[in-house]
Amino acid sequence: MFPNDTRILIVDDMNMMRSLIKSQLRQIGFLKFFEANDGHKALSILEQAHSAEKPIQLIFADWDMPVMSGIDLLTIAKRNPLLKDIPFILITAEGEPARVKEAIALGVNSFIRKPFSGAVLLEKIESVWQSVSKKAA
Amino acid sequence: MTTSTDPNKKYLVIKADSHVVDVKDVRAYLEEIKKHTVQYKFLIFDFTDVTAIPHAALRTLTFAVNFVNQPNTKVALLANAFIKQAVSDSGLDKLISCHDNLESALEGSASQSAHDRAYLTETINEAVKMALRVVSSTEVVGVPLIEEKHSDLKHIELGAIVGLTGITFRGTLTLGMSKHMFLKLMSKMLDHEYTDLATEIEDGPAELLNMILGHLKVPLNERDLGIVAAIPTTVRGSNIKIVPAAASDSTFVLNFNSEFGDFYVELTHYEAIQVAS
Repeated sequence: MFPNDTRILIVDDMNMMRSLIKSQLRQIGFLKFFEANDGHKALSILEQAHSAEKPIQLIFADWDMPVMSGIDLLTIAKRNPLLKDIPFILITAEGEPARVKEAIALGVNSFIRKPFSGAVLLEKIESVWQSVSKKAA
Repeated sequence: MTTSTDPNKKYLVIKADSHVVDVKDVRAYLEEIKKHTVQYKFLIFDFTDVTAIPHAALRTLTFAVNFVNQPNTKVALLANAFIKQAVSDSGLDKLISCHDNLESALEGSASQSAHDRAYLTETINEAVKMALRVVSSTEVVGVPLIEEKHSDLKHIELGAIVGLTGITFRGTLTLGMSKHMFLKLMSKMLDHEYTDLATEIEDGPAELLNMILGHLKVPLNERDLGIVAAIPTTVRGSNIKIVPAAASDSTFVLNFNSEFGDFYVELTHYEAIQVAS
């Protein structure tokens, strides 16, 4: 499982949603959070964290955001050699197959459909950890 | 051609007088229809006395039905067995419902509306219950549909509204609740006691509506409504009434009871929703 001091970036234009995810992650035991309200700001945080040699280790991003959406952020991150291996979980209010296919093709690690419980969040994180660990091995 | 209507002007019947309906007749019906599509929500062609309809006239009739068959107007055909067969052979039966008489056509329309209302009520009810249960373990009870008017809940201080468009649909979804209820709900969701609207929860109503919408869109779009939503907006005030700017065809209101108080969700639509069975 991801260690408790995993640096987690939460990207959502809604303050409440960021607070909700943070609150649920805290309950799971995570401690280090970074926040952005759009993909553009998220990219800047990702680059700064990498430069400071304290890279982000897990990303949660909402799909629908102004300025730069979660899917655009995913596209850019997965094309960037420095960011492409960071596990990326997309959060969406919809479960439409076309959207899911698009994100899988771009290399998303997992999805969470809003609204979600802490238990679902934990399940997703564990599943991503397992797939990332397998890949690394 | 003769036209007739009911005293409430809910429907218009265009009756073919001759035994053979040709292209010229259908064009005349179309001209007549053009005068009435705004006024009537239900247009009925009465072909019960017609015994022949050439292929060219059927094609023109298809054009006329396509013109009429907009999301906010229904169309039906009264026909004998021969005309029903001709309509079926031409594929026009996919656009127009065929009936033996006026009573059957009106009943069919009413039962489709009742089906749509029942389905939408149940779908909204489930979406709200599911969203709140998942996000905050809060159980809510929806109370029966109030139709054709906006919510009468008092002390609405916070809410959200979102515009929706779809293939056969255009409308808005609204959420309204008291500040007390919202703060209690947020406190439970975020595991932090809120006594006022802190920055991190001020967009909460819009996000709550977004979650409800997420649950609502999936079943509706499985029925080919093709609903696309805009970004929800939070609304604040004292004893507010959230009413969409555009005049609506009808409104579905569901009032809910929860452990923190009452709230409502309202679906207003400007164009008829026709839900496939």
